[in-house]
Amino acid sequence: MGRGELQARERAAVADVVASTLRHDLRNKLASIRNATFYLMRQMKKTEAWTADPRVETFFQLIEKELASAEELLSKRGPQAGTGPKPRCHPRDGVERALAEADLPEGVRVERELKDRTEVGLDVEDLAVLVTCLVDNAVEAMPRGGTLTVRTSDLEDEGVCLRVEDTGEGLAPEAYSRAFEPFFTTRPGHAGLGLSIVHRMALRHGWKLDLGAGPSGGTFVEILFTAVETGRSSRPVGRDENQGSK
Amino acid sequence: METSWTFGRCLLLVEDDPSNRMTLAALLEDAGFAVVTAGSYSEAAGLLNRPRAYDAVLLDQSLGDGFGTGLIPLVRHHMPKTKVVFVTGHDGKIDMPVDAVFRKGGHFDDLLAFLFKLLPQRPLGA
Repeated sequence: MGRGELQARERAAVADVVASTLRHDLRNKLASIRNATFYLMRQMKKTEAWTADPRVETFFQLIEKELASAEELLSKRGPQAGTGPKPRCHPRDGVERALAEADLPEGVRVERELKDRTEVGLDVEDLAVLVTCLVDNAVEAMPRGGTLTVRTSDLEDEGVCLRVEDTGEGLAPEAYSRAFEPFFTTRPGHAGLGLSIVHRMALRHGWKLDLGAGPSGGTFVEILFTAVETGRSSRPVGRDENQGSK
Repeated sequence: METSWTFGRCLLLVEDDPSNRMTLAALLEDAGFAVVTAGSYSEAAGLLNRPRAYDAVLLDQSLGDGFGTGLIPLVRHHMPKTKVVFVTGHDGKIDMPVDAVFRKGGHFDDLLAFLFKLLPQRPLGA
């Protein structure tokens, strides 16, 4: 896998988050229009205008038809992944790959402690994209330099823990609950998509995601990958998993 | 529009989009429900920590200051008989046990029929 392949995967992950956010926002707007239209139609049916002017009903039907078309467009998806063998990799390989390609400033020192021996259900390129998002986020949190720590270790139940930590200034408490939202950023000029990509991957695979203040006052992100053999986890991903900084 | 089965029933609608919240609440009230609304995670958490007899809680997933799934433990803890229904525009699955998931943008009549099936029926005159 060359650098171009990793960048293509990153672009695809960004596009995925952007498209999903747009779909969600548009669905919200269409739902409001549909509900408001439905309410108005019911009220109009009680008036003389409903029977006196047949275009009133026709136009309500037109709105309904166009809403249905718009929602159908939103529901269309590209081709789904094939049903070949499930991908798997050692997280440490994805970490090494991401760190090899990372654009690390001179003032950032890297400490790595990669002890995992268990495979997880993701291919190594996607895992490298995930780690790249976390590394970029950590580096951006240390504009005056610091230490980036990346650790992996096996869990007792055959999963793997990945932890990425910085020694930056951390985040204001009010920013923690929004850290995984698409386009949320505390730094001007940044898109605010890296942690959203990680969050989407975690939701899709059922991994537990935690984010908070590290012992140095910086920020850590921790992902608990379930092992390939255990399949999809039913671990909840609620607000508790979304405490952290960005 | 009030019907015998909606009379006296109370719903908590948690939705951060103001237009969605207003229109859906209007339709539910028009159908005969008493509707309490919350526009954020924190507002909903405040209401759920002062339990009342909601028949169902209708949750959106993205709430700006938190996720709808994060409210489920509060419902289960304070109001174990209350049904939890997600009305969501999200692509992803709701990865927690809930009573039902309804796709945002569906017909209101479908949601009403859905609630009719979900909520336990009461004897006549109750």
